[in-house]
Amino acid sequence: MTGTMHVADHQGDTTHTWDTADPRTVQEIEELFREAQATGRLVYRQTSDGSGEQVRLASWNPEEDTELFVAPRLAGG
Amino acid sequence: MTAATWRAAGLAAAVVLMPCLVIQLRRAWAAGARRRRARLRAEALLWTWLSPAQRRQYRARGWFEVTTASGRRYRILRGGVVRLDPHGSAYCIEATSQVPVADEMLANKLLLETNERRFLATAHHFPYRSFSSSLPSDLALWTSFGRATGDRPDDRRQPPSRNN
Repeated sequence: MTGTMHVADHQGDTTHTWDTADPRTVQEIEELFREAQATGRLVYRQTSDGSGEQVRLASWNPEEDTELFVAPRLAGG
Repeated sequence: MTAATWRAAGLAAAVVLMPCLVIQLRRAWAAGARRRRARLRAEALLWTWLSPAQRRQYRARGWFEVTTASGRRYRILRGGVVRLDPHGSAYCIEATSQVPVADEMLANKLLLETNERRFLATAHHFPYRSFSSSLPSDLALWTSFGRATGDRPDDRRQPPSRNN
Protein backbone atom coordinates (compact mmCIF):
# COMPACT_ATOMS: atom_id res chain seq x y z
CA MET A 1 0.00 0.00 0.00
CA THR A 2 1.32 3.43 -0.91
CA GLY A 3 0.33 6.80 0.43
CA THR A 4 1.14 10.49 0.22
CA MET A 5 1.74 13.17 2.82
CA HIS A 6 1.39 16.79 1.70
CA VAL A 7 3.23 19.28 3.89
CA ALA A 8 1.94 22.81 3.33
CA ASP A 9 4.74 25.29 2.71
CA HIS A 10 5.70 28.31 0.64
CA GLN A 11 5.81 26.11 -2.49
CA GLY A 12 2.16 25.13 -2.00
CA ASP A 13 3.12 21.79 -0.54
CA THR A 14 5.94 19.32 -0.50
CA THR A 15 4.88 15.76 -1.20
CA HIS A 16 6.31 12.77 0.61
CA THR A 17 5.28 9.27 -0.35
CA TRP A 18 5.54 5.98 1.44
CA ASP A 19 5.20 2.35 0.56
CA THR A 20 4.35 -0.13 3.29
CA ALA A 21 6.62 -2.62 1.53
CA ASP A 22 9.53 -0.29 2.25
CA PRO A 23 9.82 0.37 6.01
CA ARG A 24 12.35 3.15 5.44
CA THR A 25 9.73 5.32 3.71
CA VAL A 26 7.26 4.71 6.53
CA GLN A 27 9.90 5.76 9.05
CA GLU A 28 10.46 8.98 7.13
CA ILE A 29 6.77 9.77 7.37
CA GLU A 30 6.81 9.01 11.08
CA GLU A 31 9.68 11.45 11.47
CA LEU A 32 7.67 14.10 9.63
CA PHE A 33 4.77 13.38 11.98
CA ARG A 34 7.04 13.98 14.98
CA GLU A 35 8.38 17.21 13.49
CA ALA A 36 4.85 18.43 12.80
CA GLN A 37 3.65 17.61 16.30
CA ALA A 38 6.73 19.25 17.84
CA THR A 39 6.04 22.49 15.97
CA GLY A 40 2.33 22.57 16.74
CA ARG A 41 1.17 21.64 13.27
CA LEU A 42 -1.84 19.41 12.86
CA VAL A 43 -1.97 16.40 10.56
CA TYR A 44 -5.21 15.36 8.89
CA ARG A 45 -6.35 12.36 6.95
CA GLN A 46 -8.95 12.51 4.22
CA THR A 47 -12.24 10.73 4.71
CA SER A 48 -14.49 9.44 1.97
CA ASP A 49 -17.11 12.18 2.40
CA GLY A 50 -14.68 15.01 1.70
CA SER A 51 -14.19 16.07 5.29
CA GLY A 52 -10.96 15.78 7.22
CA GLU A 53 -10.05 14.02 10.41
CA GLN A 54 -7.13 14.80 12.65
CA VAL A 55 -4.67 11.96 12.92
CA ARG A 56 -1.78 11.50 15.32
CA LEU A 57 1.26 9.36 14.88
CA ALA A 58 0.01 6.91 17.50
CA SER A 59 -3.23 6.36 15.62
CA TRP A 60 -1.90 6.56 12.08
CA ASN A 61 -2.27 3.40 10.03
CA PRO A 62 -0.15 3.54 6.85
CA GLU A 63 -2.29 0.80 5.34
CA GLU A 64 -5.54 2.76 5.66
CA ASP A 65 -4.78 6.47 5.94
CA THR A 66 -3.09 7.03 2.63
CA GLU A 67 -3.76 10.73 2.07
CA LEU A 68 -2.39 13.11 4.71
CA PHE A 69 -2.12 16.87 4.95
CA VAL A 70 0.18 18.68 7.35
CA ALA A 71 -1.52 22.02 7.84
CA PRO A 72 0.36 25.24 8.53
CA ARG A 73 0.17 26.48 12.08
CA LEU A 74 -2.67 28.99 12.47
CA ALA A 75 -2.91 32.11 14.60
CA GLY A 76 -5.42 34.87 15.05
CA GLY A 77 -4.89 37.60 12.47
CA MET B 1 32.39 67.86 -22.21
CA THR B 2 31.47 67.40 -25.80
CA ALA B 3 28.45 65.51 -27.05
CA ALA B 4 30.68 62.69 -28.18
CA THR B 5 32.09 62.36 -24.68
CA TRP B 6 28.61 62.29 -23.15
CA ARG B 7 27.57 59.68 -25.63
CA ALA B 8 30.60 57.55 -24.84
CA ALA B 9 29.97 57.88 -21.11
CA GLY B 10 26.32 56.92 -21.55
CA LEU B 11 27.26 53.92 -23.61
CA ALA B 12 29.79 52.80 -21.01
CA ALA B 13 27.19 53.16 -18.24
CA ALA B 14 24.67 51.17 -20.26
CA VAL B 15 27.20 48.41 -20.86
CA VAL B 16 27.92 48.24 -17.14
CA LEU B 17 24.33 48.58 -15.90
CA MET B 18 22.51 46.46 -18.46
CA PRO B 19 23.70 43.10 -17.12
CA CYS B 20 22.63 44.13 -13.60
CA LEU B 21 19.22 45.12 -14.89
CA VAL B 22 18.85 41.86 -16.78
CA ILE B 23 19.81 39.86 -13.68
CA GLN B 24 17.25 41.72 -11.57
CA LEU B 25 14.53 41.20 -14.16
CA ARG B 26 15.33 37.50 -14.39
CA ARG B 27 15.18 37.14 -10.62
CA ALA B 28 11.84 38.95 -10.44
CA TRP B 29 10.44 36.80 -13.22
CA ALA B 30 11.65 33.59 -11.54
CA ALA B 31 10.14 34.67 -8.19
CA GLY B 32 6.83 35.39 -9.89
CA ALA B 33 6.87 32.01 -11.61
CA ARG B 34 7.62 30.27 -8.29
CA ARG B 35 4.72 32.06 -6.60
CA ARG B 36 2.40 31.11 -9.44
CA ARG B 37 3.45 27.45 -9.27
CA ALA B 38 2.94 27.45 -5.49
CA ARG B 39 -0.51 28.99 -5.88
CA LEU B 40 -1.53 26.41 -8.47
CA ARG B 41 -0.25 23.53 -6.34
CA ALA B 42 -2.15 24.79 -3.31
CA GLU B 43 -5.31 25.25 -5.37
CA ALA B 44 -5.06 21.72 -6.73
CA LEU B 45 -4.52 20.30 -3.25
CA LEU B 46 -7.44 22.24 -1.77
CA TRP B 47 -9.63 21.00 -4.61
CA THR B 48 -8.90 17.35 -3.81
CA TRP B 49 -9.90 17.87 -0.16
CA LEU B 50 -13.23 19.61 -0.82
CA SER B 51 -16.53 17.75 -0.81
CA PRO B 52 -18.58 17.87 -4.06
CA ALA B 53 -20.83 20.60 -2.60
CA GLN B 54 -17.86 22.65 -1.49
CA ARG B 55 -16.30 22.30 -4.95
CA ARG B 56 -19.43 23.66 -6.56
CA GLN B 57 -19.41 26.65 -4.22
CA TYR B 58 -15.72 27.28 -4.65
CA ARG B 59 -15.87 27.12 -8.42
CA ALA B 60 -18.87 29.43 -8.64
CA ARG B 61 -18.08 31.89 -5.86
CA GLY B 62 -14.53 31.49 -4.67
CA TRP B 63 -15.61 30.46 -1.17
CA PHE B 64 -17.09 27.37 0.41
CA GLU B 65 -19.05 26.52 3.51
CA VAL B 66 -18.40 24.18 6.37
CA THR B 67 -20.95 22.83 8.83
CA THR B 68 -19.33 21.86 12.11
CA ALA B 69 -20.28 19.04 14.45
CA SER B 70 -22.18 21.57 16.58
CA GLY B 71 -24.36 22.48 13.60
CA ARG B 72 -22.90 25.95 13.08
CA ARG B 73 -22.26 26.99 9.50
CA TYR B 74 -19.18 28.93 8.45
CA ARG B 75 -18.14 30.42 5.16
CA ILE B 76 -14.45 30.19 4.36
CA LEU B 77 -13.31 33.05 2.20
CA ARG B 78 -9.98 34.11 0.86
CA GLY B 79 -8.58 35.90 3.88
CA GLY B 80 -11.11 35.12 6.57
CA VAL B 81 -14.03 33.16 7.92
CA VAL B 82 -17.58 34.32 8.57
CA ARG B 83 -20.10 32.49 10.72
CA LEU B 84 -23.42 32.26 8.90
CA ASP B 85 -25.64 30.41 11.26
CA PRO B 86 -26.05 32.01 13.73
CA HIS B 87 -24.68 35.04 11.91
CA GLY B 88 -22.94 38.11 13.21
CA SER B 89 -19.36 37.01 13.67
CA ALA B 90 -16.26 37.06 11.54
CA TYR B 91 -12.90 35.53 12.28
CA CYS B 92 -9.43 36.38 11.20
CA ILE B 93 -7.08 33.42 11.32
CA GLU B 94 -4.01 32.86 9.23
CA ALA B 95 -0.96 30.69 8.84
CA THR B 96 2.09 31.73 10.82
CA SER B 97 4.35 30.69 7.95
CA GLN B 98 4.23 31.93 4.39
CA VAL B 99 1.89 29.66 2.43
CA PRO B 100 -0.48 30.26 -0.49
CA VAL B 101 -3.99 31.35 0.49
CA ALA B 102 -5.52 28.04 -0.65
CA ASP B 103 -3.41 26.24 1.96
CA GLU B 104 -4.80 28.60 4.60
CA MET B 105 -8.34 27.94 3.44
CA LEU B 106 -7.78 24.19 3.64
CA ALA B 107 -6.26 24.49 7.11
CA ASN B 108 -9.28 26.57 8.24
CA LYS B 109 -11.71 24.03 6.81
CA LEU B 110 -10.01 21.11 8.50
CA LEU B 111 -9.68 22.85 11.84
CA LEU B 112 -13.37 23.81 11.80
CA GLU B 113 -14.44 20.32 10.83
CA THR B 114 -12.33 18.61 13.44
CA ASN B 115 -12.00 21.04 16.34
CA GLU B 116 -14.29 24.05 16.24
CA ARG B 117 -13.44 24.93 19.82
CA ARG B 118 -9.76 25.22 19.00
CA PHE B 119 -10.57 27.32 15.94
CA LEU B 120 -12.61 29.73 18.06
CA ALA B 121 -9.89 29.88 20.68
CA THR B 122 -7.24 30.65 18.07
CA ALA B 123 -9.01 33.06 15.73
CA HIS B 124 -9.33 36.78 16.24
CA HIS B 125 -13.04 37.35 16.52
CA PHE B 126 -14.93 40.52 15.64
CA PRO B 127 -18.59 41.33 15.02
CA TYR B 128 -19.84 41.43 11.48
CA ARG B 129 -23.21 43.12 11.42
CA SER B 130 -23.72 43.84 7.73
CA PHE B 131 -24.38 40.23 6.94
CA SER B 132 -26.66 39.33 4.09
CA SER B 133 -27.62 35.95 2.68
CA SER B 134 -25.95 36.88 -0.60
CA LEU B 135 -22.62 37.58 1.01
CA PRO B 136 -20.13 38.25 -1.77
CA SER B 137 -17.02 36.17 -2.09
CA ASP B 138 -14.81 39.21 -1.79
CA LEU B 139 -15.63 41.19 1.28
CA ALA B 140 -14.80 44.85 1.53
CA LEU B 141 -14.58 43.88 5.18
CA TRP B 142 -11.10 42.54 4.63
CA THR B 143 -9.79 45.59 2.84
CA SER B 144 -8.88 47.40 6.02
CA PHE B 145 -6.76 44.44 7.04
CA GLY B 146 -4.90 44.52 3.75
CA ARG B 147 -6.33 41.17 2.72
CA ALA B 148 -7.70 39.95 -0.58
CA THR B 149 -10.31 42.30 -1.97
CA GLY B 150 -10.99 40.72 -5.32
CA ASP B 151 -9.86 43.84 -7.11
CA ARG B 152 -6.82 42.13 -8.52
CA PRO B 153 -7.22 39.37 -11.11
CA ASP B 154 -5.12 37.20 -8.81
CA ASP B 155 -7.88 37.32 -6.19
CA ARG B 156 -10.41 35.77 -8.52
CA ARG B 157 -8.58 32.69 -9.62
CA GLN B 158 -10.41 29.52 -10.50
CA PRO B 159 -9.46 26.03 -9.42
CA PRO B 160 -7.44 24.05 -11.93
CA SER B 161 -9.64 22.72 -14.70
CA ARG B 162 -7.94 19.32 -14.64
CA ASN B 163 -9.64 18.65 -11.32
CA ASN B 164 -13.17 19.19 -12.52
